[in-house]
Amino acid sequence: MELHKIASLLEKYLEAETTVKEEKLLKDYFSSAHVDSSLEQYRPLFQFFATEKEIVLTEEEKVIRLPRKQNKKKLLVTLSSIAAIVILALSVFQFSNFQKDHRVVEGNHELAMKNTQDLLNMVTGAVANSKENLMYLKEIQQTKNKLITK
Amino acid sequence: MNQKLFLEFVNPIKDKIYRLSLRLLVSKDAAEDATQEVMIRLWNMKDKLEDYRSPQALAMTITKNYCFDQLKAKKNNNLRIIHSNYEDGNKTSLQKEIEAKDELLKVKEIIKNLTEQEQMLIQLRDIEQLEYEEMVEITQMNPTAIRVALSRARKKIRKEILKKHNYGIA
Repeated sequence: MELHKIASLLEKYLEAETTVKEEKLLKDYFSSAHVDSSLEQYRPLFQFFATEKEIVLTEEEKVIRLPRKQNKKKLLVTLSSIAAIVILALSVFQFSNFQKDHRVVEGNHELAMKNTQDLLNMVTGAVANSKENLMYLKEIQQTKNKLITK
Repeated sequence: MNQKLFLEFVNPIKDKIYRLSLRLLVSKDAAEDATQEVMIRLWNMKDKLEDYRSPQALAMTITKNYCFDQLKAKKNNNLRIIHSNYEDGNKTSLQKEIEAKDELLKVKEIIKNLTEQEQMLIQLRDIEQLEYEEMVEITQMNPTAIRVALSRARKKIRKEILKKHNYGIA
């Protein structure tokens, strides 16, 4: 490109009136091998702009660390399951305490013995009763025999 | 917006965010922290991103605001940001390369001495080559103010470059 064109572009550039395209022309000119000696002092500036654009984020893994995928629903599920476990544990604990409280108070062994005996008597009574009822089974046998001999 | 979409959105702009943070905060560590902070903020509002006219510009605005906040906090604490980006010197040290690098370092130094606003405008326009409309959206400045400030910044740079250049000759 001709020298006077570049010079006038430079003037425009300093007034911040150049377009991005024109600034690119300047950059291309100053990064080329044949920069006019009268404009030599501007070369580092435009080269600097070019090199600065090359800088990239090198420690990307360190910098872009996204929070793990965990939406609110999942969080809610986790929280509620923790709550459920806690409630379950507490209720088991409470229940075992409750049972302890209702055990026979020490020193009341006689009453306990009596209660147990009553209970066992009731069981024997019931067994005896049922035994009588078992007699009916004989009838079934007789009827069955009748039917078979026929 | 799920994680995959978010990464697709972030991928083309993450370097821009990093470069702007680096321009303003100077230190690489601080710039990485800033980028991370911007990522987290974007992630937290990921469901609202589609409502914005230009999510990219929004990301840059968040970056700008965060960096300016950081700078303000540092100033209030009467501290200067320490910037020591150590590089291993294993690169081939040809004389020419050193000279070229030295020239670029001078430019870097000049830009560093501009005001924060000017640095930001230079970054957005001369390095990222954004259009004025995008810059308006990012900086929330009006277009005329942007042009005036940018022109002033460029002239300042030229003045410093010429000063250094003339010293070199003398």
